Amino acid sequence: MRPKVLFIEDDFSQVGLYGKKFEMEGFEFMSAGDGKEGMAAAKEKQPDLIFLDILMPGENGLEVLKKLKKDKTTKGIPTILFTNLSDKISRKKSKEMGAVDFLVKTDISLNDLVVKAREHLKIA
Amino acid sequence: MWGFGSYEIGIAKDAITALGWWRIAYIGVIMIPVFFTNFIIAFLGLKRKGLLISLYALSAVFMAANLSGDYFIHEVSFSFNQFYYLSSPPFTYSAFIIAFLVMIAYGHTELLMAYKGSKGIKHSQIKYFLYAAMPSFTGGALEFLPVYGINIYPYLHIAIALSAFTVTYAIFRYRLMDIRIVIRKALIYFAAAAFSYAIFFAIAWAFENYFGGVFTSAAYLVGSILAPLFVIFLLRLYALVQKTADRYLFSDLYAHQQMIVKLSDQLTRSIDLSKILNLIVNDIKDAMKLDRAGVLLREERGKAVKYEVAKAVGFEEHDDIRKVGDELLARYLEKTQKPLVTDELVLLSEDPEAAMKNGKAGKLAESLQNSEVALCLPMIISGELIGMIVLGSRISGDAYSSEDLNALSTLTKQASVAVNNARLYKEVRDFSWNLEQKVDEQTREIRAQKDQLARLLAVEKRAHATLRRANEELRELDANKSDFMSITQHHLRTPLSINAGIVDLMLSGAYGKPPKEMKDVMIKLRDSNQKGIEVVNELLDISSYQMGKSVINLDKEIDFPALMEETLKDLRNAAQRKGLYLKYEQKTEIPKMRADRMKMKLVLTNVIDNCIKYTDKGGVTIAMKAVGGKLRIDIADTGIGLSAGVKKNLFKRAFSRGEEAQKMSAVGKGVGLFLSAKIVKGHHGKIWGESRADDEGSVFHIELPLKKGKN
Repeated sequence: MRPKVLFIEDDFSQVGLYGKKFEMEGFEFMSAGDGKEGMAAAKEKQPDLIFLDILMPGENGLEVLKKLKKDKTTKGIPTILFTNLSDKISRKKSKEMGAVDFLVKTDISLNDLVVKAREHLKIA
Repeated sequence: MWGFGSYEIGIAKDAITALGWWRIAYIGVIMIPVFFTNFIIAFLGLKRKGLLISLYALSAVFMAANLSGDYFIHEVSFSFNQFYYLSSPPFTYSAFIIAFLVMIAYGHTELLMAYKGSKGIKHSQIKYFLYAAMPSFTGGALEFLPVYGINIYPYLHIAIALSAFTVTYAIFRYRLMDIRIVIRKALIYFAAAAFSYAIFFAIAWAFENYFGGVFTSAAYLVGSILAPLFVIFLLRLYALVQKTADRYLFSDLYAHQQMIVKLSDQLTRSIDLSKILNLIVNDIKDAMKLDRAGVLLREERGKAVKYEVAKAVGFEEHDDIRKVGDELLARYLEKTQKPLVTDELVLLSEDPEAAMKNGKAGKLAESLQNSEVALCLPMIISGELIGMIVLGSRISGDAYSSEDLNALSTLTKQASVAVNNARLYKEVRDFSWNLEQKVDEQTREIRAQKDQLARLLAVEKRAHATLRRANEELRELDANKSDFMSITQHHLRTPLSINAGIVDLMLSGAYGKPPKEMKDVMIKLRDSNQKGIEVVNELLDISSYQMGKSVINLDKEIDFPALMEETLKDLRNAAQRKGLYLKYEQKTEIPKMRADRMKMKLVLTNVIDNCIKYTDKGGVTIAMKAVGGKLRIDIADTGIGLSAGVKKNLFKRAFSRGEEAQKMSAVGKGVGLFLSAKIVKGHHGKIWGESRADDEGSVFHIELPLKKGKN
């Protein structure tokens, strides 16, 4: 069974990028353009891992994170914040709210991203 | 004399006796005119000394004529049932008659003149005197007529008696001589006596006729019944007479008493000063029928004490009763504490004997008269003169009787008390009003202070609000800065990360295996992009620092040696390309320590890279050790070294690359050292540089605390 990853990200060129990579690496790739879609997708599709962007139209990633962790059906899914924001406060907040990791897009290569994903899914 | 003489004449039996009696009678008659004139002169206060002396002289002549022989009366004849002197009058007699008439006429004239211009007592006295004198003299004068052959019985002798009555009346009413009480008593006793006498005789007569005598037993019996009856009647009579006498003699007393009662009652009801003054002035004026009435009250103006007019009715402007309130009068009244009747004062002042003492009295009397003030009643409270009631004359012109004065005195006492009370009350009221004013003022002051305080508090509140708003704005600004940072970070990094991602994919053959040439180019692209990322990172960091946003993440513990190895790996290429060596030595065990891995990597990269840049030959030597709770890194190069000024500023300002730098062609990295310093500081560490001992190159030192909180 292929591991399912959900990317909640509004920039579709990035989505295209990550999608290509993860598919290549043998993941089932899902994406949602905003918080609402993301919530719905998470609840319905029940991914194994969620990558959550912060700066999005409508609700920002942290709010979505809050919702994910509140909802019984989604709160068990490991969620990584994947963003360009590198400030301390965002990092701290996300940790407080229950994200398993905080990754800065420019600071991590695609390969490393996959490595991290695997780490958090506890598979090689 | 005359009357007595006349009587004797009346009963005279013969002519000689009659003559004799006539002569005697005439002694009186001769003196009548001169006495009359004298009296008038004295009564009216006229100065006719010379006249009087001459008149007396003349009378003496007549007297001599009368007594010494037939010059006066020399014959009597019988007529009117009496002996009467009917002889043709001798010269002297006629002269006497003329003189008599002249003097009488003169006296009357003076009286009339005085009467017209007089007021008060004088007025009344003169009036009654005239009432008495005129008829009596007229009546008396008629007696002379028979002498001249006009045979009219002098009926009007009765008028003489009338004059007596008139004078008596004047005595009663106008205190010509104040013996009313004596009269009254006499009257009562007389009436009682007359009554008893009459009863006695009536009974005696009755007894005589009916009982045959006063001493019969029947008489005794009846007498015993009559006796008690008599006593009862007597007493009744006594009371009646007294009442009648009172009502007639002292009628005005009743009226006065009523006035006093009425006025006192009204006075006690009021505390209002103006009302009281009104009562006093108007009621007295009306009750006593005066033309003028007024009240002066004591006023203290500073040190001076004046008696000022508080109320005046009927006084005309030219009367100027203000003059009345002068010191002289005040002192006089205060001393005597008795009513002052202007007429009396006038008399007093005219008394030649007391003229020296009473010169002032004269002046006072004059001013009183000028002001048409007939009576001054002092208002005394506790021996002090608090004011005076000034009254004009009675409209009728009559004088003030002593009953009037008594009543007025009593009234004045009442009025004084009432006025004093009213004044005290007013004082208290004024005082309390003043107090009220003061209290109001104070209250207003306090309220004003309260308002001021409230205003101050309001100001403070506003200040607080402003402060709060400032805070909010700052926070907003802060938030905005964060937003800016976030947005900037996002927008700068996104394309770079995408580039990196795409290149990675391309290199990994996701879009087909790339040819070698393309692969090399793509690697270059990736490196360039990476540089871009790094620069952006740096820029963002600096911005964050500038905006006061800390970006040091000291959550994790890192393996520093590993980090060093990693950093050096990247830099070895750069060194190799320049032909420099890159030596590294770890001197001691380095424990795991808290540091921001990425940031420290940046620092190391910056410094080492800098060294490589500014070194043309030789190389860079790096040593790391843990000592004294600190991590120590020394990076030495064999480059151009640092001048003093550069040293100081190297870590201070971003973008200052040192003068030497300009000699070198290099990618701008001034940012790096500035940021490195900031990062090290954020780690609570130290970084500094200095020239090497042998003056060949420079060495940089970095110190970082191994345990959190140190340094």
